[in-house]
Amino acid sequence: MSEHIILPIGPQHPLLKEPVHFKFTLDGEQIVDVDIRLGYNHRGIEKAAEERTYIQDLYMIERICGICSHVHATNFVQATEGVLKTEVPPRALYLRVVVGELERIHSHLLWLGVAGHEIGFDTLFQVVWRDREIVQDLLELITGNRVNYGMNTIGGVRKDMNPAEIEETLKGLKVLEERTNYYAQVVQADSTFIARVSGVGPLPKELAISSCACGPTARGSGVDYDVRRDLPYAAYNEIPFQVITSDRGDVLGRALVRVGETIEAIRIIRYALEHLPAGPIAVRVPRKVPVGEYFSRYEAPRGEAILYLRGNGTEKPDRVKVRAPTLANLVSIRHTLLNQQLADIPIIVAAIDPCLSCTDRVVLLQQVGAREGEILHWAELRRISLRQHVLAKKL
Amino acid sequence: MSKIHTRPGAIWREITKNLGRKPATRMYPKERPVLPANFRGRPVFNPKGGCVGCMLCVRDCPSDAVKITKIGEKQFSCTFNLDNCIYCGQCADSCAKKVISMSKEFELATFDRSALANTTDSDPPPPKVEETKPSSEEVACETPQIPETKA
Amino acid sequence: MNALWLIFQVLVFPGFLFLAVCALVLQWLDRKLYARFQNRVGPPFIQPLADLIKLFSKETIVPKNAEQGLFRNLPYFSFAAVVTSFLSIPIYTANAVISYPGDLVIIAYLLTIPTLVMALAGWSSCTAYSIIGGIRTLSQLFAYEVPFVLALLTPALLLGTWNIAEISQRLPAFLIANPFYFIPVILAFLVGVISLQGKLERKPFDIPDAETEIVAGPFTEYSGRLFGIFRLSLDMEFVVGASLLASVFLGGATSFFGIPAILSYLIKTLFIVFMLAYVKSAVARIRIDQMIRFGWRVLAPLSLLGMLLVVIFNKGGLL
Repeated sequence: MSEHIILPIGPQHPLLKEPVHFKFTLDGEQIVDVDIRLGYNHRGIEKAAEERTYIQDLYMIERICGICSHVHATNFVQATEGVLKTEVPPRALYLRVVVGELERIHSHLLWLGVAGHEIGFDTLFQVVWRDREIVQDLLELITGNRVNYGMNTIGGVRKDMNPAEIEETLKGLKVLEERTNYYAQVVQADSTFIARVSGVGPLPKELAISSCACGPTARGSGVDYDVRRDLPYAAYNEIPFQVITSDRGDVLGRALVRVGETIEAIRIIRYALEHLPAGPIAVRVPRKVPVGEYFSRYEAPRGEAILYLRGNGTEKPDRVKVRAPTLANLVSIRHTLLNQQLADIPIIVAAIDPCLSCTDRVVLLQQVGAREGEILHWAELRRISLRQHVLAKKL
Repeated sequence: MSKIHTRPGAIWREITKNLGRKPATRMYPKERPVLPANFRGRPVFNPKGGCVGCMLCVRDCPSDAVKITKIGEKQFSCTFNLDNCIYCGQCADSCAKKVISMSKEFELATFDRSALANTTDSDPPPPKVEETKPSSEEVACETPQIPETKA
Repeated sequence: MNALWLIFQVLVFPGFLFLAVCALVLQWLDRKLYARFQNRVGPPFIQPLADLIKLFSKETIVPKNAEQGLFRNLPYFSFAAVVTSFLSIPIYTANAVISYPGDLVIIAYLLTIPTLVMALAGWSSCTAYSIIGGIRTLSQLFAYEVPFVLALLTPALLLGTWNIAEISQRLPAFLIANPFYFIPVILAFLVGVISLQGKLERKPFDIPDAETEIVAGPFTEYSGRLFGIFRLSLDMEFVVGASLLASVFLGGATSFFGIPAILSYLIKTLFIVFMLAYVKSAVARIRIDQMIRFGWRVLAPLSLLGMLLVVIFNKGGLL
């Protein structure tokens, strides 16, 4: 008779970069059951977005996540421009693509380093992050900041790129391409790395589709879907690029997809910079957004990020809903974790590239004395929060 | 799944080369960083810029970090609360007269909370050439200002 | 007089104090090399001493559920075993402080005590993380111990003696006289270095101390003075392991080209430290089942091959 150990991991644990709670039931070193709890990073952003004007919201929505800040900002301006029905100048669309792909490079390199750290390959972690500094310096050159770039504004972008910056970017990209190719080769040739990721955390294609996985998690299992190609936004309908997939279905497959996407992103940026159309970078938009709604999608480094916006004719939005890709990928974690070894937990969890700051939108409240598991609806939640707000002001 | 041909320590070339390289660490604060032109540091109010008090910066600031108060005829006082500021630069973009700009100062940490409220007063507006009525600033002077163009 | 001299040797040089200083210096060198391999700066020279002083000045928290007696006293056993084993390794003369026939076997056994102590420490802490860490330490013991001992025994078998000091004195001359035996000795040396990496629980074999999986393994609940003593004894084990390999395979404190014995010992030990740091920087951490498979399918057969070569050619009288 084997005794099952219950191992709680999180919300504070060295393997987690952001708080989430897992409760593992272990039989020796093998995982028998997993329970996931979210909600540690909930900040009430969707509610706060309704109290601010659109231009103020832009900066708040951008700060949902540090790694994929441009994703949420672009989603928001695309949704607002969709409701306003503005025509964004093509130069602005190309610049959005350039910054978006630079962000994809920085996010995937960050992931590669973190994956190396999770399996104990600290050397890979340090050298990849050293080369990631090239991307960070380029982003600082172009936008003025290393994270939370503030590149977008409603109606276009805020900063233009002059020829000196374009040349600096192309130089940096050349170095980056050579280094990324080296890491791609190391990752596929090192036996200790392959021993830790090959065959680990398998996700078959049907299970990936049925559990709504998206992004590299799904493409690593052979699902050929990319928002940039299938529902193009910004300037992606004019830029040729390849969608990288892998048939392996394990953590190595996802790693290869991410490394391949980094190299592809370098090519996209080069094409966009060489074909940058002339013209203005922004158009003036009215302050009041008419009644209407819009769904905006974006291929974030982690998957498909969705933002839904509803305007009501005033300066402040009526409803903002953000769906981050990690929320969709978390369902697949449960499948990939079952029957795996304890030692593989860090790399399997890291393989979906979890970003819990993006994800936490919903929280389960329990009123004192209420029945177990009561779900509060939106109107009720709003009433309670307004009451708390008034009480806090009185104190 | 195809068998991959592997060997341990595939990264040996990189680590051997690293022994000969200078460390990639930037030795701050001995080594000062080189900041690009677009860098968004502390917001700065130009006293000679001609602020008209339109309050667009106040309205657009995402974090209530700017305050403009009127201290005289066409004279305004601008306070930046650096502990609220998120250094997004929207105030600089919204300003109709381009009076606010983002400087390159980023070493803003201090032990004194009150030092984080930067107040700059704008200069009084230059006296109008044809105006004979003295402005409120000039009332304090002993002799009336003689306009320069009058011969 | 003789007793006083012996006490001095045991406590100061080359005993406990010298070993402690060596442990701190070699820890610094290991961390500095590791950092330079990764293109970083690395810690300043005084860092290991600062870490030790910090640990000794912190509060020692003992969990309520832990086995109190075992928890508090285990670090000292590991400490004592390591210091004792250092006394049999020749440092500054051709002979060690305490040298007797058969001390190679005794030292090999003394060096397993730190591992057993770690496993017991994990078990006595009674937390999920530390229990798993303790189990992993024991599993790892089964993987590297046999190749390690077999590798150490190859030169002993070759020279027909179990005394470390004698092996270190006679091996270089023997090898130069019969160059064929470079093959089994080098094979045994490489197996010994890799097994030592496993014994010291460094990458790729730092499974019990896998930071990202089980926090700190057996040491999760240790803090303050007890943890400081554990860390010091592990660093000392590093020194003893490297010195042992230098003595058995590279000739230890025998001088070559007329340089003083202690310099010869330092150069050889530092060479082994460099090799260990290189291996640590170049690989990822492998899983425990992969490690056991590696130990039994690769390391053990290689060390057996070395021994076989020695037995057939030397004892069989072919060469």
